[in-house]
Amino acid sequence: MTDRQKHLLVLGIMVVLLAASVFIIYPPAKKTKLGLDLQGGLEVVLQAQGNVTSDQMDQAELVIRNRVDKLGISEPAISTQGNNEISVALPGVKNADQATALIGKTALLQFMRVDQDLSGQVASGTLAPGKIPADKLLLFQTEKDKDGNVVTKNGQPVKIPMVVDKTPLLTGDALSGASLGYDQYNRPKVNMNFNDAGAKKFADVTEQLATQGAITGQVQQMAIVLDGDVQSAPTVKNKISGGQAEITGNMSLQEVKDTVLVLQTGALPVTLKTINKQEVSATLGADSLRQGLIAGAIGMAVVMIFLVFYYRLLGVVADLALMIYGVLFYAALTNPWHPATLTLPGIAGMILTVGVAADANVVIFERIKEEVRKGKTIRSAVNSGYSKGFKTILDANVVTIITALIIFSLATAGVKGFALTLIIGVVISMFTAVVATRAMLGLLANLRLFNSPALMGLKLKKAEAS
Amino acid sequence: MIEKLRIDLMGKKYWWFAFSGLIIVVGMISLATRGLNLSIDFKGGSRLTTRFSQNTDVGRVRGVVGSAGYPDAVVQTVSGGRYQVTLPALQENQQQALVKALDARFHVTETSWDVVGPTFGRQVADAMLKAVFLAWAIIIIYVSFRFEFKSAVATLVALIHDLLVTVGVYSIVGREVTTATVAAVLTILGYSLYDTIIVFDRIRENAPKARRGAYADMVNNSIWEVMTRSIITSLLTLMPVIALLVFGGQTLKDFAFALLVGISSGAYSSIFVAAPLLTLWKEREKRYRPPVARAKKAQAKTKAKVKAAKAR
Repeated sequence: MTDRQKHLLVLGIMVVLLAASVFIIYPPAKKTKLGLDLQGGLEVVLQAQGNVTSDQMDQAELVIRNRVDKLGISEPAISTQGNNEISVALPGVKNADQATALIGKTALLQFMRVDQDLSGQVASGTLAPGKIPADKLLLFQTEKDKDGNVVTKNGQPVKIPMVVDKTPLLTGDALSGASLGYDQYNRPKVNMNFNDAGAKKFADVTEQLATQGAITGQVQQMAIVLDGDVQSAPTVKNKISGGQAEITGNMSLQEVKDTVLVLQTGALPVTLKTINKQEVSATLGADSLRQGLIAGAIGMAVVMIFLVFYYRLLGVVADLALMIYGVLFYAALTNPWHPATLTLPGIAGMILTVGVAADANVVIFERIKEEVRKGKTIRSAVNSGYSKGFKTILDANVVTIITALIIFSLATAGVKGFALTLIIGVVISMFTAVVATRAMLGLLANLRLFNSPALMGLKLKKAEAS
Repeated sequence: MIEKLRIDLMGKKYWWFAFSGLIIVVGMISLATRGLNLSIDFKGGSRLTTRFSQNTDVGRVRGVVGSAGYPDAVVQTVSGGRYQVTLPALQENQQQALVKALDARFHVTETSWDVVGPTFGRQVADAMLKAVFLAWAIIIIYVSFRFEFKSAVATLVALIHDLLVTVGVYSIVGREVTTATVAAVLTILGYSLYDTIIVFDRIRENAPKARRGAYADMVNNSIWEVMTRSIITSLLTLMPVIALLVFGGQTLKDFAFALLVGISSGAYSSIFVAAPLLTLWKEREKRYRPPVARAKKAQAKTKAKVKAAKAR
C-alpha cells in the first residue's frame, strides 16, 4: 500500500467513525445522561451503625431498593460502598425531603404491652424517668390534632409518656403487608395484615391481654411502636383473630402513606445514619450545565483561533482534528453500551482535554518546524516530526492516565467523573491529534501549494531556507 | 520570536531558587498563621444554596439564619442571584426548620443541600492523601525507569515545589479547598510533569554532544530548543481553563483556579527548578565538572600535596 492509500484509508475510517458517532449522539438532549449536579436530584450516603455483616448490608440494600421503587423514582442508583455504607442516588427526584426521610428509616415495628400504673406515675411526676425498672421502657407518643399536625406548647411538641414492657409482644416480622384505609370519620389509617404465624400469635397475645384485663378489672392497652415512637395505643378488650390490625389516630394522609410504604418494604436489619447528602435543585443543575457548556464552547473557540493564528494551515488541520475529537469524545460518553454520566467535574475534565488534545499537535508541529528549519523538505519534516513527537506525547499521556486512574480508584463519586472524562479524552485525543492529522497532512504534503513554509506560520531567513 | 529572549538560564539558577524559595516561604508563613480554608468536604458541615423570590441582601439573610440558631453561619452570594449558607452538619429536621424560617421571610424558590458528616469528611481526606502519595510514587518509578535516577530526584523536587507553591497560594488567597480542587491539582501535577519530561528528553538527547565542563550550556540550549513548545502548550491549556474561571459556575471556578495554579507552577518548575537542579548535580560528575571548579580542585590537591610534603 502506498502512503497515499494508507492516508486515504485512515481518513475513510475517520469518516465512518464520525458518521457512527453522530448516529450515537443524535439527538443529544435525549442521549446524554446527566449527573445529579446537572439535572437536579438527591444523593445520600448511609452508614450502618455498629458491627454489621455483609448479609445484613445486602438485605438493607434490598429494602432500600424496594422503598425507592415504591416511591416511583426512575433510574435510581443504589450501591453498597465499603463494608458498611450504602449510597443512594435519585436523579430528578421531586420531593427530596420525603425521600431522605423514607430511605433511611429503620421502620422497626413493635407491639408492646403498656404498663398503665407506671405510665400514670411518670405522667404525674411521682416516678422519675431514671427510676423505671430495667424490664420496662419509657416511650413517648407525640400528640396531634385531628389534621395530623403536631400539637405544640411553648414551641415544644407535646409528648405523652408511656411505659411499656421491654420485650415486645410481636414485631414487624409478623406482617405480610400493609395498606391505606379510612375509618368511619373518613380519616386515613394504616391497615396491617399478618402472615399465618403472625395472625396466630397476634390472636394469642390479644387473648392474653383481654383475659388479664378481665382479671384485674383494668382494660389493657397495647402500644404500636414504630422506630421507638408510639404511633397509637389502643385498648384490647377481646381476642383479635382474623389476622388484621390497624393504626388509627390523628395522622395526615402523607404520614399514613409513608408508614404504609415502610411497613410494606419491611424493617431495615441495621440502623442507618446519613453521613453525606447532596441535594441539587433542578434550576441550579440547569444553570450549572449552561455555564459549563458556555465556558467549554468559549475555551474551545479560543484554542482553535489561536492554533490557526499561530500555525496557519497546520492550525486548520489541527482545528479539524479538534472538531473530530469533540464528536468522538461525545459519542464515547453517550455510547449505548456503557454510557457515562456527565457531571460538573466531568465537564471540567472534558474542557481540560481540549487543551491536552491541542498540545499533542503543538508538540508535533514544533518538531516539524524545527526539521524544516534544519533544511528538510516539508514532506520529510512531516514524517520525522510525527515519529519524534509521538514518543513525547505517549510519555506525557501515560503519566496523565496513571494519575487519573489513581484518582478514579480512590476519589468520591463526583471527582471520579473528572478522572473518567480525562482518561477517555486523553485516549481519544491521541488518536485524533496524531493519527488523523497525520493522514490529513500526509495527503496535503503532496500538493505543490503546501510546499511553502509560510503556510505553517514559519518565517525562514534567507540563509536558513537555502 | 521567543528565541530572541534567549538568556543564560542556568547561569542565573540561584536567582530562580531564591524566587521559588521566597514564594514558598511566604506561603508557608501564611499556612502556619492563617491555615487553609478547608471546605465541608473535609471537615464536615452543611451547605445550603438557595434562591428567594423576594429581594434581600447578605446581611438580612445572615440575620434570619442567626436568629434560627446559627449565628456563626457564613452567608455568601453566588452566581444566579443565589445565596450560599455554610453551617455545621445539620440533621434532617434542622435543615427543614432552617428552610422554613428563610421561607417565612424571603419566599424560598429553590433549595440545594450539601451535607457532609464529620466521619465522611475524614474518609474523603484520607482517600485523597492516599491518592497523592500513590500517584507520586508511581510517577517517580516511571521517570526513574525512563531516565536516570538523578532526573527522577530532580523531578520529585520539582513536584514537591509545585505542591508547596500550590498549598501556599491557596493559603494566601484564602480560597476554599474542596475534593475537586485536590483532584485537579493532582492531575495537573502529573500533566505538568510532562513539561519536565520533555526538557529532560532533550537534555538526554543533547548530553553526548556536551563538551567537557559545558553541561550547563548544553542544558541551556536544550531548554531554549523546547521553550516555544513549553510556552505554547501551557498557554493552550490555560486558555480553556481561563474560560472556565470566567464563565463557569462555582464548582467549575474551583476546578479552574486549581488548574491555573497547578499549570503555572508546573511549567515554571520544569524549567527553573528541575533543570537547574539536574545541572547542579551533574556538574559534580567528573566528566561534566566545569573548568573553574576543576582547576580549583586541582589547585587544592597540589596545595595539599605540598603541605603534606612540607610536613614530612
